[in-house]
Amino acid sequence: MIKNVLIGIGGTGSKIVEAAVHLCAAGLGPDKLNIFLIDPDHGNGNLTRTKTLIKEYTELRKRYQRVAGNTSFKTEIIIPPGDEPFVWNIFGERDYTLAKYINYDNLSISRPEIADLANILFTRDELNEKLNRGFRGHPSIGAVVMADPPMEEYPFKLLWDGRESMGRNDLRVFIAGSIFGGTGAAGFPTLGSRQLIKFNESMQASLGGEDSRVLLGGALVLPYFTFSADSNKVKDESMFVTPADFPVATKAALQYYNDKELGFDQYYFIGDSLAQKVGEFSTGSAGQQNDPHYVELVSALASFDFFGQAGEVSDTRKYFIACRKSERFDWSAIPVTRNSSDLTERQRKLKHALADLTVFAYTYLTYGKKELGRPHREITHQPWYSDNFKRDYKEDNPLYNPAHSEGSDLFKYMDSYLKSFLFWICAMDDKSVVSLVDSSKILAGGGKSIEAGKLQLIDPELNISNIGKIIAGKSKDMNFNAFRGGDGLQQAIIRDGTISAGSKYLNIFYEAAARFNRKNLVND
Amino acid sequence: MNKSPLNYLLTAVIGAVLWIVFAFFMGSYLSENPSLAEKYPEALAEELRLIFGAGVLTSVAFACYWFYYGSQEKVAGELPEAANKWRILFFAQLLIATGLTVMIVVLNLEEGIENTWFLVYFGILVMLTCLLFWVTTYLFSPRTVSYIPFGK
Repeated sequence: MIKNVLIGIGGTGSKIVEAAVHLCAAGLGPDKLNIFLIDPDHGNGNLTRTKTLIKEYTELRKRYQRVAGNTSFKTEIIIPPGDEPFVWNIFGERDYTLAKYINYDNLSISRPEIADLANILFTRDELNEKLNRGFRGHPSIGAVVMADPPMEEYPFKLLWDGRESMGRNDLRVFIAGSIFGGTGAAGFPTLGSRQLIKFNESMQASLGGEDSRVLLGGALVLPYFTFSADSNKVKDESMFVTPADFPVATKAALQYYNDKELGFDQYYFIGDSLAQKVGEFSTGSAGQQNDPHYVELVSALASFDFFGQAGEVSDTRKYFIACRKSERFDWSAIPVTRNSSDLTERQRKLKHALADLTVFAYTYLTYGKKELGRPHREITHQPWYSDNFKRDYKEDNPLYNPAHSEGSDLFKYMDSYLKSFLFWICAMDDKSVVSLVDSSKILAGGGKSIEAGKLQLIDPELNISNIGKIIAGKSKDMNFNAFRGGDGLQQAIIRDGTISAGSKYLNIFYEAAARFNRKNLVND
Repeated sequence: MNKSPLNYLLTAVIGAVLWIVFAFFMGSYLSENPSLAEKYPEALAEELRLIFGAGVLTSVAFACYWFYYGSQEKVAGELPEAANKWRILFFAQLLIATGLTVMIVVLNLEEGIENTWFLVYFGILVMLTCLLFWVTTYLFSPRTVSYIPFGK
């Protein structure tokens, strides 16, 4: 039995997990995916965004009944049960310092030689810096405090649940984090050490010799973004990292990985020299909330490539490389798989899956919600509505009335999730290099400044030509009337009588989006 | 049955069948039973054939226009307007039926035909215009406007 576990470490790790969740929503993930996060910065904006997203996904999936053929939200995302944490915050209390962690004051008295060693390895700032907001680009601190994670407690327990039934390489663990920051750079080699996960004795990961139940993979994200370092903010901080530190930190880390024998079976090194800006300088907490970036999408796809390896995994060492062919990053530049023979087909599948979810999100959040808010009698002129709901309509029955109050939770979670998705996919559109979707066709104000939860969507009924141009690349530029008509909603008839009318309503829009995209998009 | 050209053809066929039924099969009954002062029943039958034919023709023409209009992509975005248009076309048929009945009355003012027969002719004309339009658009309207005719 194969089990997939994705671990995101630090801010970049959180954002990679965010991308992975959205890919799961688009139907591209494995059937089951265990996820947890590691970050000492409780209030980190990136972490909070991903935590909220995972919660919304799991809550939504409990309520959303999908018909056969609808692959959206196919992946069951598994997080620790009940109130068990799915984020390892490392420190149990606030204002923890490295000095406190290693019990420096006591050591100075009882074992002065160890305290002296600490003085050699760490500066006074490093020993006394409060670590609530991460390791401030100092992975040496993180490596110490992450060396002994509680494997028998959640979220790590998630790794080992059901391990007895797993054979060699059946437990596929993928660790994602940045190489150039603090938390990710510290956690990646620490968790990737041979004894911690790959050959963990107490958890019976090892099967003797070089065999293990665990197949360990990791995405090391190389510098790929910059941010504005406001000199006023910087001067108040004693420890921080700026984009200027990234290359030095990366070089040092890569040398370390080269020398050290880690437990990883497969590595993905992902980065980009375009160095786009993703936000303002922040040392952590809520202020550290960066725009999504396509490198995170690629990293999430790397994890799916890793999880998707069929059958016995070869021990032969192989190297794969992928890169952009030009300055532009479009659908055909996305490295989706290690198998070059499948590349074009998989790229098309990715494009269509994300296009379907995008058009679904956009049309449902605008036109779909508007129609849902109207009285039943006023919508019955719409053939797609009447074909699906008119014959059996019963106002007080949630099986036949899509606007029944019992479906309000479903719509609440769907609204919120789809807004997060649109934010994510639109934020990747930098209007110059990245050419996946055209956010100006979705968001009012040309999509210049966006915030999740505050999206202002263009009304497709007033701008009917926009919908056909949302997905970048060749298209037939079909308009919203085609979506409402025979190339979308009118053909989306759901005959499954066992699902609630609310779920049916959402399935109709998803089906219509898929039909519309099949007609509108032209494969390059 | 709501795809072009099948819906156009079926509408024309139904119109033709109804015209044949009322103008020919029932033509003798409708022209021989009313009291006629001077006119021969054959002459009245000829008039009825033409007037019923005109009613059927307008109804089929209206229905065909409706099919053409309803098959346009833009109509998906203007269904309230489409509903208004259908109602206008339907009630226009009622006016046409009334007008054609008035024509029968004017042409036979001197014949002393009983009022009941004019009511019968009006009923038949309503059937050949409004009812024919309603039935054909109810059955054969393009998908986009298929739920607009009364009763759907």
